Amino acid sequence: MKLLVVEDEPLLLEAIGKKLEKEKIETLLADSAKKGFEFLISEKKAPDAIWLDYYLKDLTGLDFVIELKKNKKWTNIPIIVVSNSASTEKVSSMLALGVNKYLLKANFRLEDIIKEINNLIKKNEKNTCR
Amino acid sequence: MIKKTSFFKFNFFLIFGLIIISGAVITFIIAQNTRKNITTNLLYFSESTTAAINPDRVKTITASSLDYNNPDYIRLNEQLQKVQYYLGIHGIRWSYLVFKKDNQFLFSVDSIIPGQFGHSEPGLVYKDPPPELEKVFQNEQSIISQPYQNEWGSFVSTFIPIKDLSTGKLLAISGFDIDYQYIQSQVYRQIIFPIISTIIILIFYSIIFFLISRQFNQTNALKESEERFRLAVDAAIDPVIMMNQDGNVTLWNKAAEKTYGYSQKEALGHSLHHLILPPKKYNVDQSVNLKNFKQTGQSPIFGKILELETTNKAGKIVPIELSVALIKTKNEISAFGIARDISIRKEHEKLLIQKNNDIKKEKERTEIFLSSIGDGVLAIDQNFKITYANHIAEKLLGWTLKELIGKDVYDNITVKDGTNKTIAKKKRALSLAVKSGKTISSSIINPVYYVRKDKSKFPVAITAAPINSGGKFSGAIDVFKDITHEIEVDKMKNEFISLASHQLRTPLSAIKWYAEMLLEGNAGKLDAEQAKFVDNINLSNQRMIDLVNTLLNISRIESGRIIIESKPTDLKEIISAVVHEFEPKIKEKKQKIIVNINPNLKKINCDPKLIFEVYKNLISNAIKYSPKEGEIQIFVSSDKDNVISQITDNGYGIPKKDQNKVFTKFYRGENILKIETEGTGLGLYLIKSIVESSGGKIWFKSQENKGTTFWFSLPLKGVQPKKGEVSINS
Repeated sequence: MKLLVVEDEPLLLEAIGKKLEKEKIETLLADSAKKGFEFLISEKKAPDAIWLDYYLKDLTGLDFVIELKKNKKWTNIPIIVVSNSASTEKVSSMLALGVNKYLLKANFRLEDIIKEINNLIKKNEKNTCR
Repeated sequence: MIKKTSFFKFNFFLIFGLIIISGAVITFIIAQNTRKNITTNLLYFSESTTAAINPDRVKTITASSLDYNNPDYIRLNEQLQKVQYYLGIHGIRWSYLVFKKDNQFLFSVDSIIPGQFGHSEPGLVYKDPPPELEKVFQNEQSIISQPYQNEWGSFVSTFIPIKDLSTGKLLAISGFDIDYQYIQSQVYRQIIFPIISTIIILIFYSIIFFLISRQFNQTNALKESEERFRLAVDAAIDPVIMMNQDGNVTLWNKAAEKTYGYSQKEALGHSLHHLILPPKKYNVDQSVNLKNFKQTGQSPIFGKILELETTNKAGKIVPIELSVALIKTKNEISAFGIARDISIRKEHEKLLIQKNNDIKKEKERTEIFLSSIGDGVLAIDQNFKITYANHIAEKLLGWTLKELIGKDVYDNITVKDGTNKTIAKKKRALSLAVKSGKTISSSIINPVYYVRKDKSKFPVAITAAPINSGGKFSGAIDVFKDITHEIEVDKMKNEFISLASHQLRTPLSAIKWYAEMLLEGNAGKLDAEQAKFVDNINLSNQRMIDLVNTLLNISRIESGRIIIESKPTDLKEIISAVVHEFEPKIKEKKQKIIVNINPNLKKINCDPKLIFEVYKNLISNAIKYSPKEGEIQIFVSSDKDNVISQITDNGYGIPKKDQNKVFTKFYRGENILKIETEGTGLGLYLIKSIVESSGGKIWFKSQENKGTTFWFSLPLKGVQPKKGEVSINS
């Protein structure tokens, strides 16, 4: 399993990285949208899922997803947004763009988020198999 | 007056009658006298004539045709003829001598020459003599007969006995007949004068009486009319004054006396203008008018009503309303005036003006107040026509007052909602206020927009209030505030809260996740104490997270931006979900939870996320604030209008003194602070806001160390959905 994490807060990114490392998940840690896209372009195999923060240094999560969805290669990658704010507007526009899950950062333990991602990937695999 | 007239008539006829009677009496007396005089004269003539007859000659008369040869007869005949001449002048027709022989009366000598017409032969029988003749033969005394008639005519006769001078024996009777016609003619001649006199007197009397009575009647009528006029004038409530051409008072009624204090005596004949218009007040116009009137008998004030100030005897000003008319009689010209004392009216007018001024001032003040309010104020009447707009309203709407007054408020001021849709007439605050009879306010949270004259719009907070005067709807007041700035501030506040919470959540997440990893042993296994410490950090951090979440929720609800997504909701499912969430805790505290829901309860329209929050808070409190092995009961039932949920515990309860603070922010019961450290003091405040914004109510009953019961209601007809920007827990 390969996961792209886009999170501009270094401490959080580090925490996520450490946890995923402990969970033995291959992780690409990007502290900006630009870095995220660099990973996506450079990596031969696309990640199984993307862990995305909403507010990034250079872009919003929304812009990131819009950019992402422009490339056919990446359209099927499940996206989970883990953000500090989950206003209805944001959530609904993100979900409309094809984001699979929107979680409020402080309300979830890392373990729980990873569980959610696992579920997403499983679901996605099922869908693509079909 | 009728009595007087009839009295007059009576007098007239009485005197008239008296004159007639006197005339008649005088006439009668004269007639009688005349008759008497004639007969008396006749008697005198007869007697004196008879006395001149020598009885000795009579002795020789035989009363037969033999007498013609008797010289005594001839002598007597001649004597009678001569006498007759004079007697004839006095109306005596016949004079003769009568003998009585064998009970027959025989003519013997008469005054006619024998052979001439009318001569009676001696011895001719006197066939129908008057009865008095017989009496003379018996009484032998002179007599005057009553009028009688025979073949010769109508006569009155005198019969005088002729006696023998020596023996006194009755020889014959001399008779003198006077024509009754003559007597009558004499009488008539005598009475014609008194009759004519009487008639003349009557005529004169009648004429004089007629003239007198006419004069009397005229005088009387005049007097009466004058009397009536005087009474009328005196009875008049208003001063009635007349002034002659010299400007002097000629009429001054009682009311004038009363009003001006001058008695009639003091006023009559005095200059009116000096009486009631003292020099100080002597108006130039009036003096010119008077001068004019004196000269020409004309004045511009005739036939007009004018108001002027006059002065009474005491010097007090008497305002009057004067109507003046010109009165012309044959001899003089007068000005006739009726002066109405209008002191009271003037006083009232003054008061009215005063009041008007007060009202004006009050109105100005109100206007200033209304303008100073700083909000737009529109007043409408019962037909929704604009009757007032203050300056702010003019400024905000871009219409001038003139353009607004009288216009239909609905047609001229368009109201739009947040989505730029025009709000229907019946949904506007004014309509709602009028319909409900209550003051309706639109909130800053969910602003509506007024459209200006130039079609631009601005957000407003409206307070619409119906006006009831005397219990009857008479219009409404619309106070509106431009809340552009408030909305901006609100937006900024919300953005700030949003941003702050976002910023808070980052370090909170970091703490949460690192603590999690430490506790999981991701950085090596912790000993018991280390694990305890990290756990405490984690718990405190969790409290902080809850606090931030709750604060955000409260901010969202308070700002009104919260979305109420009303949909058919099964409360049973929500309760199950909540109970499920707290199962570990319940197990840990070995508490018993009883859920009892009316099986007939249908789904109700509400926002499940919000109602979940309510149950979650109440059930969580019940668990938290009940000791181990406590019992928690959840009942849901419904009455006519509401679904009522009841959450009861047998826990620590809320101290009586704290009970009024239960729903205030950051309140936590004093008794449970030591027992249960977890808790923000915001939960009940939050759910009260939720319940109330859902159209329900929340209340409780509690006894310390016995337990607490909370109830909350939701309307059976459902919760009105509400558009907004944010949802809970986001």
